[in-house]
Order: sequence, then C-alpha cells, then structure tokens
Amino acid sequence: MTADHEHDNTPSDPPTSTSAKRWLQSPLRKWREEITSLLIALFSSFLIGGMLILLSGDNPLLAYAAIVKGAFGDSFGIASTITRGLPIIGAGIATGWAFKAGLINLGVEGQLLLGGMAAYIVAVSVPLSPILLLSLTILASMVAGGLWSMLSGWLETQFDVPILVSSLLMNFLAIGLVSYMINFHFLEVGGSRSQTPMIADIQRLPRLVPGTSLSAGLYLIIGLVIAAMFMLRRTAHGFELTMFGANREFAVSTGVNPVRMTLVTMFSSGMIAGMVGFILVFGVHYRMIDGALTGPGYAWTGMMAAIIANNNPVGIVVGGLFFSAVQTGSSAMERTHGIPFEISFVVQAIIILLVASRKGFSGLKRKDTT
Amino acid sequence: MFELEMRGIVKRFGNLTANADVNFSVKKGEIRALVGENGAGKTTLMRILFGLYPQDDGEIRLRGQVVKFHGPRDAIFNGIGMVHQHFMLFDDLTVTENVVFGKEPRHWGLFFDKRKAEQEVEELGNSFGLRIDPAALLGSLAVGERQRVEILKTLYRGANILILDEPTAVLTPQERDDLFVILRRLADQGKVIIFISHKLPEVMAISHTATVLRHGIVTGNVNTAESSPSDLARLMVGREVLLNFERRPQDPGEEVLSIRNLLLTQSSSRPILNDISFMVRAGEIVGLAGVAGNGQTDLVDIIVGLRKADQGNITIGGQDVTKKSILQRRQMGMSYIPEDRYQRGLAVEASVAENLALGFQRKPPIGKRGLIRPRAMQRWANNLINIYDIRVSSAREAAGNLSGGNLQKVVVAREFSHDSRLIIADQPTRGVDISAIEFIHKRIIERRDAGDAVLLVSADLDEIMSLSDRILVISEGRIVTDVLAKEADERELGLFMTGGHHATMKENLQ
Repeated sequence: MTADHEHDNTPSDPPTSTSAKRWLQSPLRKWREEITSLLIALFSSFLIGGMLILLSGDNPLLAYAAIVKGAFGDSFGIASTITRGLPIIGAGIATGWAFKAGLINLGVEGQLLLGGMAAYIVAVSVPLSPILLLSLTILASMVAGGLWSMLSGWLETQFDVPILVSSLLMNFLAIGLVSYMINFHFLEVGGSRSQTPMIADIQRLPRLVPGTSLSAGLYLIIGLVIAAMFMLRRTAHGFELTMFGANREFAVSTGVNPVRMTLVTMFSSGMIAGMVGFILVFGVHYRMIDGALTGPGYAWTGMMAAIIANNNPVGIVVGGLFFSAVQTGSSAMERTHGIPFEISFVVQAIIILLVASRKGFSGLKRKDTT
Repeated sequence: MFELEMRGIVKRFGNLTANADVNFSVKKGEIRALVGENGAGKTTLMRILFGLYPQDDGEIRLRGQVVKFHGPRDAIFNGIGMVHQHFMLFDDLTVTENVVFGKEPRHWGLFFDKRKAEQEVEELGNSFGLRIDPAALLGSLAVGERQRVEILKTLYRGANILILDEPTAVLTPQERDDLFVILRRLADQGKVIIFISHKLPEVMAISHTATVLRHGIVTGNVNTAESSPSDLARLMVGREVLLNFERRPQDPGEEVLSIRNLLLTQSSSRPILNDISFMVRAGEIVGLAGVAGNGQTDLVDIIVGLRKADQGNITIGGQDVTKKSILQRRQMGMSYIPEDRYQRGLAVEASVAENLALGFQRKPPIGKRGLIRPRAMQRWANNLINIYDIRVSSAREAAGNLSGGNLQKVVVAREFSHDSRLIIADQPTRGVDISAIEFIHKRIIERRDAGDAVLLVSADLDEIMSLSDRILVISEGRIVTDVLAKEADERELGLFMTGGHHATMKENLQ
C-alpha cells in the first residue's frame, strides 16, 4: 500500500539528539509516571479494601472515615500517629540502609530489641551523671545493635552464610536472649508481668506533648533521616554503598572492598536499629517489657516502608507515617466503632502488594542492538 | 522474482523511528549482507521479518505472496530461520536433541524416536554439507561446530531464508572459512542468506550484495563486487572512516606488567592456567588472542585482583602485587575495561554521571576528605561526555538507556581517566558499532603512544592483528605462541588458537 508513495526520507530525530524536548522527557516523565502509578495503586487498594470491609459486614466509608479521624482528627491522634511512626521510620531507615547496599538485613527486629536491652542494662547498672549516662546508653544501644547485625555480615563474608538467613534466624536468638534476661535477671519484683522495673525519672526522654507518648526521640529520628540523606548524597562512602548495591561486581572492580562494605553497612544498619530500641525503651515504655518491642511489628512495617520507598529516606518517612496513620487510625476505629483492628492489616497488605508490583513493570531496559 | 520482499517498512518506538520506509528485497540464492551501526535499524528490521513484532506500515512478501506474521512461529512456518549471535543450545544434550528440540519425531505421538531423529539430523547434515556428529554432546563442541548446530536447527524446520546475526564474531579464521563454504553451498541450493555483520572485510568476501542502513533508512544497496569496505563504511556512518591505523613505530620501554608462572587449578582435571608467563612493556600493546573459554577470563580476573592464582606472581612496575587488593593495583596505575560491561563495567540503573565517577569519589575534583561534591561530579561527567562524544541527553540519564557502543564509551572514558600506566582491555569493542570501535581503537593507540602498557584480550583476531605490537595466543590454559605482530600470520594464529580442538585441526590439515 505504501510502496507507491513518495516519502520524504528524512527520519525523525535519531536517538542521539540533544534537543531540549528530550531532556525534559527523561526525568520529568519518569516522575509523572511514578506518581500516577502510585496513586492508581493506592486508589485500587482502598477500593479492594473497601469491598472486603463490606463483605465482612461493616461500612467501608465509616471505617475509612474513622481511620482518618483516629490518625489525624485531634492532637492526640496526630501525636499518636507520629509516636508510632518514629520506630517505623527508624526501622525503615535501618533496613533501607542495608537494602540499598544490596544486603538483605532481616534482623532489624532482633537488633532493635538488643539495642533496647543493652541501653536498659547500662542505665540501671552504671552510676553516672544523667547527661553522661544518656550518651552512654544511646551508645550502648547502637553498639549492641550494630555488633549483632555485623555478626550476620561476618558469617557471610567468612562462611558464605547468606545474610538473609542468618539475620532472620538471629531474631529468634535475640528474642530468647532478651526474654531470658528480663525474666531471670532484671525481673520486677512483686509484679505479675514479665517486665523490668522502670528507669528513673531523670533518665527518661522528655515528653513533648503531655498526655501522649511522643518523646524527644522525635529529634533523634529527624536527625537520623537527615544524616541518612546526607551520607547517601554527599559522602564517598554513601556513593560507594549505593553503587555496591546497584552492581556489586562493578563496584568491586573499581576498588570497593566487599568485605569492608558488608561489615560496615551491617553494623550501621544494626546501629540504627539499636537506636530505635533505645527510643522505645527510654521514650515510650521506660522499661523492658517482654514482647512489647516486637509485638507491634515496627521492624516489619519499617521494612515494608523501605521497600515501597525504594530505600529512599524521604520516601521512608512518608511511607512510615502513612502506615503509622493506618495503624493508629485503625485502633481508634476499633475503639469507637467496633470494627476489628485487623482491617488495617488487610489494607496495608493490599497497598504493599499493589505498590510493590507496579515496580516490576518498569524493569531494567538493556539495549541489545546490533 | 524476489524470494523475499520487504516494502516500505516503517517501525516506530515512541518518538524514535527505527525503520523509515525500508525496502529490502532478496532473490533466491543470494547472500545479502545487512550492515549498519548500532541503532541503524538492522535488528529491528530482522525482528520484524522474524515475526517478533509487526511493522507499523509496509508489507512483507514471500515469493510474491503477502504474509502477516503474528509471532516467530508464523515466520518459522513460512521458512524463515534465525541464527542468533548468542547461541541458544543445551550443553547437556546431544547435537540431535538440540536440533530437533521442540519438533521431535515420535513413536505413536508420545515417545521420542531417538533413532529416527539421529537419522534425520545426519541426512540433513549430509545434504547441506554440514559436518556434525549427531550423537556428540553439545558441551564438547567448539564454537564453529556449535554454530553449525544452530544452522541445522533452522534447516530442520525448513528454513529457506536464513538470517545470521554477527556469525563470525567468535570464530577462528578457519571456522569462518568453513562457515563461508557452508553459506555458499546453501545459497547454491537456493536458500536466501541474510548476513548481519560489522566486519567489512568479511562482508566483501562472502556477500553478493549488501544493504546499508543508517538511522532507519537505506543509504545504499550495492553489488559487493563493485564496492569496497571504505564505501560501505561511508554509507554506514556518513563520513570517511579510518579503518586502518597508522601509529608510531614501537619504542617499548620498561616492563610494566609481568606475569610469572601462574598456575590455577580446578579439581581433578587439567589446570585452568598452566604455567603462564609473559610481560607487557611501556608503550606496547600486547594482544592475547584465543577462543573463548581457554583461560583468558580467569587470567584477567587474576591480573586485576578479583581472583587468586594457586601459584605464581604478578608485578606491576617492578612491585609484586600478587597479594594486593584491586584498589591497591589500581593505585599503582592499573585500569581495567571488563569483558562484560553490564556485568562489571556499569550499573545500568545508576546515572551516566555516577557510572563515570565511580573510582574517583575520594580524589579531587569530585572528592574531598570523604565528602563528594555533586556539582563537581556533574562537571566531570559532562566533560567526559564531551571528549568521548557519548550520545546521551543528559548526564543524569540512567545508563541503561544508552546503546551498547555508547555504554562502552562510558566505560572507556572512565577507565582512561585514571592516571594509569597499565591498561587491561578485555574485549573492548564487543557488541559495539563501527564508529565507536574506531573511536576506542584510536584511544587505545593514543595511550600506547603516550607510553602506557596495554594488554588487549580479544576473541576477535582482526582486532588483535590491527592493534597489537606483539601477539600471544592462549590455548587450554597455556601460552602457545608469542610473536611480533608484523611477523604474525592469520592462518597460523588461527591454528594455534584451535590447538586444543584436535578434531577441527585434523580436518583443516586434510
């Protein structure tokens, strides 16, 4: 059909043109695509979640409204959302940091637990002035978490035990260890619960909003996020870490030491997790309660925030707060309307499935032209 | 009448027009070369022919009849067969099993009729003069033989039109000559052969006609006999292309890289590297030729520092580096262009700037006391993009968006920016288009003229012969020859390269 046409044989711009139009297309279009697909995923999740809520006999609109009100409706709600968001974000940054380097650290839960325990032990065992003690306890939490995590890293560099496996299993070790210490060495006398005595008033992190659990841990987390962003964008180590995660063999060929990078990164990741444990013990509970740090699943929620944010610190904050809002709002919803809290699991799960799956479509594009 | 006609083919990918009104028609018994740079549209055109995707406009006719393909199955059914650059074969199966896989002759429609299959394969091989042993295990075959199996696969499915994508890229000279004999025989029997290649001397040797594509349009259809490599290159690129290099006569200096008695073993069988010793001097390009799989990869890994040898040592600039890390070797002046840029030379998800900067993050201008300056990185990247003419819209673009040739330029740009005196270049122009090849070769020679020592490892004998001052051949883990390039003979080198494959060698001598 077209064989008889007289075509103007000048082709459109070859792929190598540097016109302004193409410059705008590349990064901006990617952004637009990202955000649109994210919004579509979120919207679909709410739709599907709503249908499930309907099926279980409740009113979805009521449920969603209650969640939003619970999370943001009043100052108590907002404070609760933020309070719950802090460990999620912290754990998310810890996980995301390792993920960014290509290391699958699934041991944040155990690392934060040990961090909290170490901080508590130091607080009740070492007689020092409060300010000094505060620094020491934070340090203890970071060192404990860092070493525990680095152990997983070492098992990989020395014995080829995958970090994914060792870190995950070491969670159980940590849980057992801490439970033992609480019940057999630091148990509160006279009480009926598996918990330790509270730490002294002066050792506690100050409360920012009276009547809520929001502590000065907020500043620590803010500092953490800023530090993470800075390290990634402005330091040689952060750059090497990013490239190590992007293509390990490439980074190693240019001179990055894989053993060093693995150990340092795992330590850093565990260190952040340990600090999260510190914040929970010194800012929220003021004691070690068996199961209180792991029950709410901060580490896992944090990990999911890291995944959907693609390990980007800012995204982890947004994702972390989002999940926190869903969780906080859902407990409020259960209190005020009787709709089971488990709805929040369903909604979160669907969101994660849909948000994570859209990334699978925009895979690597390797040009293989001849 | 034409056996195959592709008329007015148009194919667009978004804003990019890969094929713009392409006419491509071939007669029975014709060997047509299809040449063009990366991104010129040859792969797209052949993919349309093979049914991988439909054209946006235009039609395809076989023997005058219009055909519409909805997938490769249709194309295969219509007698179109493709031999890819990277073979798709099962090493653990026999030649017969590989050839008939997917279309096995069966007993009662259910059980594999092995005897019949072997018979058919043997007959097929005989009728087309393709020497193979139907019962041989694929893993034991040399590259040239493997390629014959790939060709048999297409013939088994009744191909009348064979498309070969860069078939000679990894063949020794003898294997290439064998292939040409086979192709001529197939053409004499009426088959249409479409031969995609960058290697202009070969195009001149084998094809009857050649079609040149550039930026999606046909810039020329020539009778090979009336054309020349420089004509073809000019049609491909749009300007005169330097195909042969002038360079200063060699004035080699001190020894820069010295390898002594390297031994690398593997369990029970023969060592991967067996007492390897050689050296590279300043201002010298030493080419290491060899068929892939004879130990080159391991040798390079050991030299770079990614692996340790069991015995032997390595010195750079007189200092023993056998136990030193990659970073330390680099600090002593080593640069490395890896064999597989995607595996080791780049991070496709990272930006071009980041890819250009890795290795320089702790030195000025980019790095200062552990911190990096993003703007300095951008400037660095933009500078290299300029100097090396890397076609990219911005340094922020993801590396994965670039074409093979451009990506290789990124690797070369980065590695050549080190203040190095030893360059390890492993297959530096693999999968790269002709103007990028010319560019990279020029740069390598420049460095050699400036006094660097270059170890060039390549499976492409033409590249080795055109660039090297001295040529080594590695075969079965041993260096089997060490000659000056000007005294080297292509045939002889080819024989050394296949030294370990006794079957091929015997045939060649007959």
